[in-house]
Amino acid sequence: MFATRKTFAVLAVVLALAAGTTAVMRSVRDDGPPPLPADPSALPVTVVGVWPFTLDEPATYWCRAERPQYDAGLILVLSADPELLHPRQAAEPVLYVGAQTAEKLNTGYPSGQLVALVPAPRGSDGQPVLDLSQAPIFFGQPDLPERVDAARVSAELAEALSKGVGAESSSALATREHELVNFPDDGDLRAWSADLIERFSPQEVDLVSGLRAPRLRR
Amino acid sequence: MSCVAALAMLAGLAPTGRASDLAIDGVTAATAFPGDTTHWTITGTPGAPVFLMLDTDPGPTSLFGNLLDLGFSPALLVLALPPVPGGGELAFDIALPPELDAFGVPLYAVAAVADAVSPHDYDYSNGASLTLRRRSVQLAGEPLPSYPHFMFVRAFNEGETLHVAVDPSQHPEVVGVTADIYVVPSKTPAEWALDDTLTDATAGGAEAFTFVAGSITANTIQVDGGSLSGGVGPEIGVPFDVVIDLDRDGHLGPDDLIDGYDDVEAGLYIVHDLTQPGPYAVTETLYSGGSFLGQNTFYPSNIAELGELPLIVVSHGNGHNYQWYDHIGDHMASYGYIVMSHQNNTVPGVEAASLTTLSNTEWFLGNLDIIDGGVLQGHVDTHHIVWIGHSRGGEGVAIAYDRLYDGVEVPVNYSIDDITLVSSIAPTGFDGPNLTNTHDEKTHVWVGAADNDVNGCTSSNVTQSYHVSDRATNQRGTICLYGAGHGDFHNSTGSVASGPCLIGKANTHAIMRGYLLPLVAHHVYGNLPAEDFLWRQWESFKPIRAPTDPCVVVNLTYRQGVEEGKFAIDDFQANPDWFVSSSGGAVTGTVSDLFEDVLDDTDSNFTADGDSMNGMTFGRPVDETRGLVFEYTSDSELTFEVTGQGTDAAQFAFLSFRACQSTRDPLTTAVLDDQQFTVELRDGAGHTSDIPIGVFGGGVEEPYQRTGCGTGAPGWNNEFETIRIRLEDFTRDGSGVDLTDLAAVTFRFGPSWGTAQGRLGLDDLELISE
Repeated sequence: MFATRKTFAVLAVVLALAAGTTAVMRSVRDDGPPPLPADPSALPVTVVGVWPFTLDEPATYWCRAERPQYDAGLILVLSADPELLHPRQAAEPVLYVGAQTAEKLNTGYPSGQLVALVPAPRGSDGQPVLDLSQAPIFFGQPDLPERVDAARVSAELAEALSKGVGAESSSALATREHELVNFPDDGDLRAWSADLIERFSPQEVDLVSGLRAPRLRR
Repeated sequence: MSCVAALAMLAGLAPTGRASDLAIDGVTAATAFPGDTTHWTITGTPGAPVFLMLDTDPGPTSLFGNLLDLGFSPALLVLALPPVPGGGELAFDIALPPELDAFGVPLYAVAAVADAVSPHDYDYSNGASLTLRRRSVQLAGEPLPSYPHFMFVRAFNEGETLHVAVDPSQHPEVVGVTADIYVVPSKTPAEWALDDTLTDATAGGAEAFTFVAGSITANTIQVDGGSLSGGVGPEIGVPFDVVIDLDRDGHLGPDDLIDGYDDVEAGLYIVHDLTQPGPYAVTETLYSGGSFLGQNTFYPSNIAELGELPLIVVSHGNGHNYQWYDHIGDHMASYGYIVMSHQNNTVPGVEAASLTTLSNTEWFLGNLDIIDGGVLQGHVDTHHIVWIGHSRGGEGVAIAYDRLYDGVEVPVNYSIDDITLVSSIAPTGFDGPNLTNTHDEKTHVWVGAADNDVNGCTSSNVTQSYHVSDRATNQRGTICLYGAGHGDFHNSTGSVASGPCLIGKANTHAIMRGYLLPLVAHHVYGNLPAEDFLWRQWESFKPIRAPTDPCVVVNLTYRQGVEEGKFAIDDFQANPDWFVSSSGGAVTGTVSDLFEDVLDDTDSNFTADGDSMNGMTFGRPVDETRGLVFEYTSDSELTFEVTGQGTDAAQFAFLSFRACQSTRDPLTTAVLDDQQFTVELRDGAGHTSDIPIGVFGGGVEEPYQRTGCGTGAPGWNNEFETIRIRLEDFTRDGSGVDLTDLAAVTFRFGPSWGTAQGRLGLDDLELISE
């Protein structure tokens, strides 16, 4: 009789533990974005590759309050702390390339490899002019890029420079620079970027397939 | 003829005695249904001219020494009738238009017949009245465990038992009568006129029942055990009428009771499982129109056989993808909707996202001839567009609407009038009311209480979703899923959830399927049974295969639009002192710590630290959404005087309000259960009737038990729930309450009336129509 009671007691403990485990499993913190660092610019951003581009048809640059038009720039592949790149709905650290914001074309999470677009003016030869050896790449304070204007860019850049954020050397960058690519329009540029995203951030398969959706043309 | 003119006409008439009799259908107080023909008789001297005076004011009025049963209000109407014929009785018929809807408001009449001796003098008849009765009465519903004992409802789930009840105090004519109760396929009045044969649709056939005096409980009968089908088509609800055939002749007669004698609304609807796919196979297509014009579109595969179908546009959130909403696309397309989920430009921010919603809607409608070979051409109902957005995209759709509203954007292929509903899933709150504002558009918000991204914490306005719904000035609704995370609303990996009792994607999607379909169907098609899924307490009514997981808790709010007819007793949007309602009535009570203000937690956490609006996440300081908070620890009451149009509550169908518990308050944490209290109506004569809200199932839910965002006991933001009580319920069993003379609504709290203690928020106390 005692043995039976003991068995039941053990069974009860096992069941209770199992139930408790289930409860714990169902209430753990899931995959939400981690807290942001107080100073995102302190986290290093390195250049993996550079693809200068031009567009036949100018496009609007939405990551600036001024919404300028652009028809040239750089596609960058950058390496950064994946936790900093964890997508979130609230404001994210804004990516700056010198005195310009950069648009993230992928999340870069969890790969830590970010594909970004930064507009640049064309030089006399028609090619984009942006000297990355003079343009520190850093994450500034969280905000919506569409709210960042020229004054804010200047302030963020000055703040970063004061903290010692610097650009990479010309020689180092030269090894990572690729040939100019030209596209009829911004849509084709973004479709092309799918190849880079697939190569450098292969986990983002849906983004890649979405960018590769067949384009309907008239 | 105006009142003044009528008086002028009669001014020269000398006073005479009453020598004329007026009768309507042979009586002086007649009732009739719309569409009936009424028979009028007026006696008098043959050949005498006759005038018939009609008014909604009963008087009496003293006129030339005669006390006439007529008010001579500005509504007075005077009809010149033919002279009295040779027999001394003028008889004529008046056919009441079927569309008349002035139910319960008597029309008073007095005839003036020229005097035989002195033709310039007139005899005045007795007063008579004609009251329009609703042909349709409430009969179908569900028994309740206590007063009011029965809940008349519109929608029943397939397989659910079906009950019919008659309150003898409302229908004394049934007492002692044995009748046959039929559940019949619904007909319009015109169809009933063509064929009044009663054919029962239930498995058991018509039920015979003998009605007795006393309570409605003794006159409640189960008429079906769940045999009626909810159908297999795309429509929500198969309509039936209920007829109590009092004379047992197998035909709908004038004295029989019927629930559903209406051109629009049936007596009841049987609804199939809304969580399951609809009848149509679905085709999915992926394409792009260019930069941020990637679109993933779902439509019925047999669309060529279908007409124009409503369009649902889905705008994803930041870091999300437009291919993550198959659960919406597949489900809604299987019911005959076209769903287009598009690439959304969320990285720059919510304004860029809003422009993408606008541009994708425009591009889609402008390129139907090239999408999937043009199969959609001619099959998109461009006048019924629903915008659904998720997180940044959820705010984006609200901004997009505002841009249309402000005229900043003027699309070519659609207009603001074509937007039928804006539904935001866990929307962000980057912008204030100047930009993120759906104004008077029908607006809806989804919230996951375990959201670990747009998390609801008051540390930032950006992460508070309810701002979108509370800015909507007209019809609005919300659904909150405890345990659901931000990522549970899409179909990619990750719940992005934090808190206890997480429910995951499978449960979340089942709830979404079963709720989104009626949400859209009601707003697009005006589907009536669908509305039941938007406001009835989840605990008592939900889709058939809705999750039964004990962690699933769903809170619903639903505020009816003004165009449907309502009277706000107190929506707290005017008269900022708590002791004066927005409608101007007095507010009195013995509850404690009454405080009326913007529904906005004024600090950055949920810690119970003296903030009167702690846990309220419905607006910013600049927002206009206001409400009341108060608490109680013993029997207490809160009374709202009813004034103006609200005193004639008989013209409305429900009393509606929303209430919530105050998070982390010691009075909340001490109970940690649904709050129960009692609602009382009092009429001008002092008659009262009390109904405990818990009798309908559920109550006012305690906040989700999540930690963080401050300190103290668990508890997340305050979650409103809508409570609707049918006004007729307060008259049950002869309570004596006269709904045409409503004087006050009282909320009674405390151990004698429900939960012993609590701290509550209250808003949108309204009388609303069916």
